[in-house]
Amino acid sequence: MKLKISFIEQLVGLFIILAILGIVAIFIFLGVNQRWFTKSYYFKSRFLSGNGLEVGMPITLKGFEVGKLSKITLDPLVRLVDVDFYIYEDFYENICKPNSVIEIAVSPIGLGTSLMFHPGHDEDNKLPPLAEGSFIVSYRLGGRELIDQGLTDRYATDDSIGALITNVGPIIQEVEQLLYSINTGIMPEVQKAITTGDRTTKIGAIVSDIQGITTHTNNLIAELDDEIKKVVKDISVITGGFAKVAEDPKGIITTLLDPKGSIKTILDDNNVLYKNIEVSLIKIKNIISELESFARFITNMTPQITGILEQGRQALDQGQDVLEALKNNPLLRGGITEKREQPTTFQSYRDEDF
Amino acid sequence: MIKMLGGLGRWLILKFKSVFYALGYFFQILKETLFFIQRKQVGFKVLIMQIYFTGVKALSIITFIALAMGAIIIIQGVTVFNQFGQGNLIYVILTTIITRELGPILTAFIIIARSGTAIATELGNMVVTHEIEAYVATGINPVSYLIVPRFLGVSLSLVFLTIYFNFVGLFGSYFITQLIKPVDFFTYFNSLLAVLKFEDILTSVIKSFVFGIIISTVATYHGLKVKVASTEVPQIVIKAVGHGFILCIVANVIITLLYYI
Repeated sequence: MKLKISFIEQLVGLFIILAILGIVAIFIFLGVNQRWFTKSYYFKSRFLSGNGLEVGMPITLKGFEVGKLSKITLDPLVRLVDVDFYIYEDFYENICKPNSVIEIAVSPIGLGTSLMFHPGHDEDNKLPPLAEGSFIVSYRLGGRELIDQGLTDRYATDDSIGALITNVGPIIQEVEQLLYSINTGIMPEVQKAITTGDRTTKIGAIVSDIQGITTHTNNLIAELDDEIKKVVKDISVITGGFAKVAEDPKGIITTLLDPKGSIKTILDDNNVLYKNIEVSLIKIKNIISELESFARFITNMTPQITGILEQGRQALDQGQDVLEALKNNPLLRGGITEKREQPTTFQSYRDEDF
Repeated sequence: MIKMLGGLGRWLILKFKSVFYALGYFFQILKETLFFIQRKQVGFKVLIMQIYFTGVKALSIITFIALAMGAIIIIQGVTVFNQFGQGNLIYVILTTIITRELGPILTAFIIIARSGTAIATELGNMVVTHEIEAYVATGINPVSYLIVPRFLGVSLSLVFLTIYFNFVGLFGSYFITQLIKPVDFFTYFNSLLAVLKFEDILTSVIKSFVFGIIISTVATYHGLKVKVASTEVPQIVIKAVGHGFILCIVANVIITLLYYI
């Protein structure tokens, strides 16, 4: 389709105007969204390390962006990191109070860095805001003390990772302080005690005692060394013996483990042996039960048997007395008919003459 | 051996000569461009026509490609980044790729394929049919009347087309996002604006303007290099396309490096 030049001019004009309007609209939205047209209040701070810091990094309060980092420089003299940052006009009046603190929280598990703003405590919101360009302390360079004294409102983060990031910083600081105190306070005394044997301090005495204990332990170990060696040697001999038995192709272990051996043959009988053993065990169990019953019966009858035996003994005593009386009586002497003894028919095979 | 060295030397001298000739041609265009704006010549209509053919007529294909690219980036990004719980990174990737990288370079490639070839062919045929000689004979500077409107037309069209590409690629792809992962319009819009930087848009505009300059200069340069035969025209067009691609990629790398330095 052939178009008139005037219409083409209109189309081109529309094309250009729409493009320009589009880019202008984007710039306006960007400006509003990124606060190009609002005033920002600049402040300074100082950190121990610039690790994780970058220009343009947002400064947050309770998860909301309240400002941005604008400049990071290293002060080579004091070896600290100086930063410049700004707070948006919307928040300046209410959060930039005296004793405010800025804190960097570096994730130990690589989840990034966050920069948090903790406003100074001002319950009635009566204190004037800090002047632009003021110095705001960082958490590890004086801010912690302000928070401990309750002069700064430090808000805990709700999410666990955030809380972790927030809490790891102070823990690391405490560990560092502990290590520092060990290195500066304890280690020199320990070194001194080791090198000079000085026992005047408590640590020196402990170190000396430890040295004594160590020496004593070493002597004991040296004394026991020969005995231990002997025991080890014996164990070695026994182990060797076991090894020989195990390795012998005609030894007991090989025989036992032989799949064609007698044990295998005996055991592989469709549980006949097992059933027999089980039946025998049941019978033995019954016999034992009967024996137990018998033993209980005997135990119960023992007083009666004892009584019978006692009575028998008394009867024998009386019989002996009667015989003795008859023997001594002259009237009856020779009066008893002589009896002929009947030999017993019971004989064992051993009594026979060969 | 000496002959071979001599041949190599002659080849190098010729290459240097052609580079300096092309540079001289480019400065001639720049000089005439300044005069063109001053004089408000009749070539203004040629400029309008060039913007119409290069810009307005390419709008449909640019819109389609921008929409497709935005959709692909969102689909791939949403799939991959959500696996790591970093779904918000999609906005950074979208602005980086669409605005800074793909927007200008893809638009440039399309313009090379559409207008670069057309300009080289048109000028080559004009040389073959002695139209250029006729302009010179009647006292009309062909660079002023033929080249400068095309140079300005392609450069400006590429800038505007890149703006459209960015706009459609960033905001038009929102509708594609709705099909995969419905997001509130204001959330999408604000998240995009939060990561989009002024430098991104500036880089995009600078790149597209530089690409426009390269495409128009290369196409007109090769078009005017045709000597007598119409059979030279397709060869020249192929050269114009190849050189256009290479120079645009080199320029893209240099500008990207400058952005990060």
